[in-house]
Amino acid sequence: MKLFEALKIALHGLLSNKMRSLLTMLGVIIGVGSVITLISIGEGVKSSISSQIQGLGSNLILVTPGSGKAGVNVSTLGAVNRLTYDDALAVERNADSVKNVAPVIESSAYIQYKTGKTTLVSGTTESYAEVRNFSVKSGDFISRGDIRGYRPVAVIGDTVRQELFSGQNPLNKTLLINSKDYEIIGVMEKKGRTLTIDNDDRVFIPITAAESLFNTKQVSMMFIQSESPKAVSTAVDETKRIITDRHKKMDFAVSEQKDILNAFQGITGTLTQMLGGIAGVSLLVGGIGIMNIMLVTVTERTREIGIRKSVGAKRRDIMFQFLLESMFISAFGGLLGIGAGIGGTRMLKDIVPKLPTIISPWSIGVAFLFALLVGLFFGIYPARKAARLSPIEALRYE
Amino acid sequence: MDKYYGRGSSKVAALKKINLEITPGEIIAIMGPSGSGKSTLMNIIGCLDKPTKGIYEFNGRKVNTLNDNQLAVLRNKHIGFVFQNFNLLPRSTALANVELPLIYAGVPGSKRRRVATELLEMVGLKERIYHKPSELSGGQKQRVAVARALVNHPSILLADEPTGNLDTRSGAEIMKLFKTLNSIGVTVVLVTHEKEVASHARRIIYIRDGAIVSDNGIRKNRREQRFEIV
Repeated sequence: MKLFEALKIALHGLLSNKMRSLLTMLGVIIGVGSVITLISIGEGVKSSISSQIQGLGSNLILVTPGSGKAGVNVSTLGAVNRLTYDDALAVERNADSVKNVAPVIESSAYIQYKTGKTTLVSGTTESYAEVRNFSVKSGDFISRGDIRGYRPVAVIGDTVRQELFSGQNPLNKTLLINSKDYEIIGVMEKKGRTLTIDNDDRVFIPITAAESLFNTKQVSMMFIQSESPKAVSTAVDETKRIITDRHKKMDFAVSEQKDILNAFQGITGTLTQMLGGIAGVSLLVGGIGIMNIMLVTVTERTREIGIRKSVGAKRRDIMFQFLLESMFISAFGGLLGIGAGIGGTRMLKDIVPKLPTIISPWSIGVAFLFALLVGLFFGIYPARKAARLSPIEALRYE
Repeated sequence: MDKYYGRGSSKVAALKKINLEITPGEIIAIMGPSGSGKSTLMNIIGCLDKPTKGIYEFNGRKVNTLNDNQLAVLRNKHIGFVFQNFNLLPRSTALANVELPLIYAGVPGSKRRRVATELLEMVGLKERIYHKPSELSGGQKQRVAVARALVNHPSILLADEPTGNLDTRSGAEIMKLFKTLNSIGVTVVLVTHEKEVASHARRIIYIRDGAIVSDNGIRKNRREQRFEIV
């Protein structure tokens, strides 16, 4: 029997019970739709995190005290592992492939203008703004003169401005940081969030001022910008060599932006797989629905099978007919499911605008293929059952 | 030839020591009360079933040795069935029902439609080819079934109580059709318990409790036999 005839017979069978076919298909539609939607969330989160990490600044290298792994911020309080402003200066002076070094002494502190709040105070150098891609909206960023002169000046982030100076111009006002006076010399451009961190809820002061404010020489981290993207690995090597020479041991960790990116991509990749897997289960349930309905159909149409066999249908003709029906359900359901997935993702965007979603072609392909496989797998048993019916008993069936 | 159902102690003999030869061109009636085994015999003649013991040869082929697929091909090419309850596909048109055996024979669509239409015309249903079984009377349904049985030019036409669900007039028409077909060379085997129907046949075989009690057939030389059951 030709494929075309078989397809026609299968389609005829499905159309003769439209409601049932549609409901069975619904299982596949929901399954494929949710696979595509959930994977789009995973992929969206992945790309959003990637772009946020890339937004940290270009050609970025991160040096942290201790031998901690990439991106892990070791406590600044330990006096054992000392990474200092002088180390930063040494790197900046001696490493040819390094363009800028921005050491940061960071701690939370209580700040007050009229009202007060606790925020992150970062003692840093003039390079910070360039290295981290931050820019000043009004006034100036910290200058080398401020650092050399230990001047009590502060540059505030956008969140701090909104919360403490709503409607007022904060420039030249005096801000209390841990009860000490700082003159506000600049306000930063709004930067947004990196992952969960609000980059605008902070105050920048000269690193030398921070050393005395927090009574420590230890920097929390050091951002290093290489001369060019190609120079990143050279810059990493030079940084390691210079600081190790000064410390006589490797009591710090150097990580590239790439390492951080890889670490997060590993996490988000797992997230995507997990979401896809959960949705895959619903597709599997849809497959069980197909099997269930096909078994009912085979029983209902026992007599038809008997008639077909009596006029010369072979086992494989019957097998093919019913297998094609379940494949039809899964294929057609899969196609509609792709539409449902794309529609669902759009709807999700409307309901939760902050949730990043990206529909990737591979997820559509995978979901559709999986649906076909489900149809094939769960169709085999009912089709075999139909094919193996004895024609006499099938004809006698009431 | 014997046919048993079940196994061990629950074994039931449906047919016992049947010895039968059917010659091409014959019109035979198999008669007997219900439960006598006449339907079982017909199933075996029609290659829907195989004997448990003994040999059944169809056109010189030993049916016992054939597998399911070979039986299906045999039924498709050489056997036409007409059933008491018509056994038409309820959701397909008369034309589609008649075309069915041709689909499994791999005949292309245009030829299928031509052949099926011709046959429906022959049984007098030219105006009804696009009607579904539910829109046809019993007699018309049975004529569709006869057309379907003939569509592959079978060697033998098997009819199991073909008039059982028909009124007298329709039944008579169907019987007339069978006789016409027989007159042009089609071998016809009727299974019935109605004397009236059986009277149309030249040869009548009575079965009781799975065994042949009488057979008025004329034995011929073995060499001329085409269908035989030993």
